[in-house]
Order: sequence, then structure tokens, then C-alpha cells
Amino acid sequence: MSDFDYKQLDDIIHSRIRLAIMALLVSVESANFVYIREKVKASDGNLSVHIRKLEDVKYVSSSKKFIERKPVTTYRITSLGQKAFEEYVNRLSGLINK
Amino acid sequence: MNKDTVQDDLAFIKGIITESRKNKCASGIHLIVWGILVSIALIVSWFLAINQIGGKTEWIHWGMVIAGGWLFEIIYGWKVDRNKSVRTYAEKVDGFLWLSVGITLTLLGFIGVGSGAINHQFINPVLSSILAIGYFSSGIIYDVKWIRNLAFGWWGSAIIMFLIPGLYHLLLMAGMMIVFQVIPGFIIQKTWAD
Repeated sequence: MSDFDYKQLDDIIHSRIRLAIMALLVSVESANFVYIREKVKASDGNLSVHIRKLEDVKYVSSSKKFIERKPVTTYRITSLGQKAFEEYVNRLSGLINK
Repeated sequence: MNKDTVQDDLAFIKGIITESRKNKCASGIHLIVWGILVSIALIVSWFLAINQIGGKTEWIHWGMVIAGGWLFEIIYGWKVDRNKSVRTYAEKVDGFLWLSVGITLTLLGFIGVGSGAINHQFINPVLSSILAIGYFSSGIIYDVKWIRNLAFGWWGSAIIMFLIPGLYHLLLMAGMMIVFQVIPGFIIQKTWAD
């Protein structure tokens, strides 16, 4: 295994946009789609695809509600996602410190 | 993947987390509404006291003010909370802190004084001390020194009122509500409200 073997890293998180989503959600209790989109500077379609991937592995959970007849989706990180994110950051730090 | 990429990734994560944590969602509306309601009630109490009108009248206007305040909290909380785009942990902790402060103040003011367990002459310094806890903790949660320092004003007024009893407590508390609650509420609202 080389010093900077990216295979040690979680593939799901190891993408700039998903990493940004995870970093954002780990630092707040919950955030809605529009807020995340503004913060990670992604398009609606792009963000949807990446959030779906995080939801599929249960790193992120979502809830839908209607505000003034408009659907609003709120996301929060799950305990599994939190653990995966911590592990990802630890591994990154570990790679640097080798 | 090289060391620079890894360092860049870590800096990227740190940047997002730092920016999100800076997100102060404190709302000054609660402080403004409660501050105005309570200062009016205190002035009414002072007016009733100097005119020696006591008894049920005192409880009626306080009952209306406190019920009005809690009704506002329920309606505003329900309406605003559902529209929030982001909820931070600091905001959640601060919200529960002030909820517990509010319940304690209501309990002491009504049950404590009403049952005779607390001498009504000293209810204001007791309430002032509890408000100080709220401001001190809130300032720590949001890492805002001037909010934390408001606590010293509340503790200071509590010391004065504990040492020197008198009807002036009602006016002093009303003044404290304006200077140490309503005005800070407006500043918070102007600075951070989303």
C-alpha cells in the first residue's frame, strides 16, 4: 500500500460535492435542499444525484414537508454517516502524518 | 493522490465546517416581546402598588402577560421553525436553555410567590439572577462576549435588590428589561436574524 493510497478512503464520501455535503451536514443539525445547494454551489440536478447516493448508503436521512404548498426537503446526517465521515477524516489525516 | 491533495481536502472540510458553525441564527424577537410585555406588567404592578390596589388585580395582569408571552412563543415557534433553511446545534441548545429559563421564571413567579414559598419582596432579584444564567450561557453558546456580559448587569441588579428591598424593584426591573433585554434583542435581530 502506497503512502497515499486513495483506496483506503470511503468511495462514497470521496467526491468533492459529497464531501462538501457531508462536511456541511456534520456541522449543523439539519439543512434544507436550497441551503445545501447554495453552500456547496451545485445545480439542482447535480445535488440531487449526490444526495441520493448518500441517502442510499444511509449516511444522510431526509424528511419532506410542505410549506405554503411547496415541497421542502430537509436533510440531516445519520449516526452511520457521522461515523463514516469521522473515519474518512481520520484516514485523510493518517495519510498526511505517514 | 498526493500529500497536497490530501491537505487540500482537509482544508476544504475545515473551511465548510468553520463557515457553518459561524452561522448564528439567534433571534432577538423573543427577547423583545418578553422584555416589552414584562416591563409593561412591572410598571402596572408599580402603579397598583403605589395606589394600594392589590389582590386579584395583580394576578390578572401578570396572568395575561405571561399567557400572552407563551402564546406568542407557540405561534412564532411553529411558524418560524418550519421555515428555517438550516438549524444549528447552537441554536437548538440555546432554544432549550431559554425554554427552561422561561419555565423556571414562570414557576417561581406564579407558584413560588403564589404559594408563599418565596417572599414576594424578593422575587425580582431571584428572577434577575436566573435571567443572568440565561444570558451568560447564551453568550458562551454563540461565543459572543457582549451577550455573555449582559449577565453581569442582571447579577448586579440582583445584588442591589437583595440588599435594598423596596417598591423601586419594580421600576428597576422594568428599566433592566428595556436596557438589558429589549435593546439587546433589537441588536441581535438586526445582526443575525435570517
